[in-house]
Amino acid sequence: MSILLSLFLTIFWAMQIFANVAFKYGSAGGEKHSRRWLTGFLAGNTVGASSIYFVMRIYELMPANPNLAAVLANCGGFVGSQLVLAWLFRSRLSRIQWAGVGLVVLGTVLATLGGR
Amino acid sequence: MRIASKAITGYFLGYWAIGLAAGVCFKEGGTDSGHRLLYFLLGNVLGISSTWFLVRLYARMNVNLAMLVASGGGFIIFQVALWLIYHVRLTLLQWAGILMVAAGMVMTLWPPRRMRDQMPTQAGSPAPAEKVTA
Repeated sequence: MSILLSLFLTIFWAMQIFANVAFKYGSAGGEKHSRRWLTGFLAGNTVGASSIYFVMRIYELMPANPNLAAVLANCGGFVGSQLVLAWLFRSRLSRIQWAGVGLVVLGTVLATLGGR
Repeated sequence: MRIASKAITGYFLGYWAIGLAAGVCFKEGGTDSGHRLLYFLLGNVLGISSTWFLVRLYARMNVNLAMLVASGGGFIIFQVALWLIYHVRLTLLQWAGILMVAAGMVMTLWPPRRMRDQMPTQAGSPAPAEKVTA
């Protein structure tokens, strides 16, 4: 794995994690569209949408294996977000629920890489 | 609790439906070169709109579970939609993967009895009563 690819993956994962944390931060404002809600919503969408640029660069660096690129980018972002959200917001999941998280990741990998 | 569950189900359905529409727009934009910009813009507007539902879900239930069910369900629905709309043939491995994602979602939503009471809210911070009746 090249240094540039690692860098783009890391930046994409960080942006995905930031977007999810921003959404959760905004959601603490409750049902009303408060300033906090709007800040979280706009920050999450701005960073989340901008992260697509790095996915495109990752695809560009892995022209022969777009499926693997998709798995690396999406599953890495998903697992990273799950761990950071659990840590930051003290989310208590049971072992079975964490196993479910693992199964979703494995299923996504299988469904993405299992194509013809 | 039942009203809260109905609202949560509605938010999940909204997120999945609008997310699916966005995905189909991106797929159309990728294959229909004459309307690429239109589908790109429409897909992005729909994609951003779908996050409104995600933020609602984050406010009402455990953030990890909300993210997992929203992402896992969206993934399954999009795969099945591609199969139904575009007649994309899925391999046995892909179907197995889709089933695994579904099984993982069921596992996370089937907590032990001691966790069941905390399910719709963020652990350690029960949702205010007004949210339930909204």
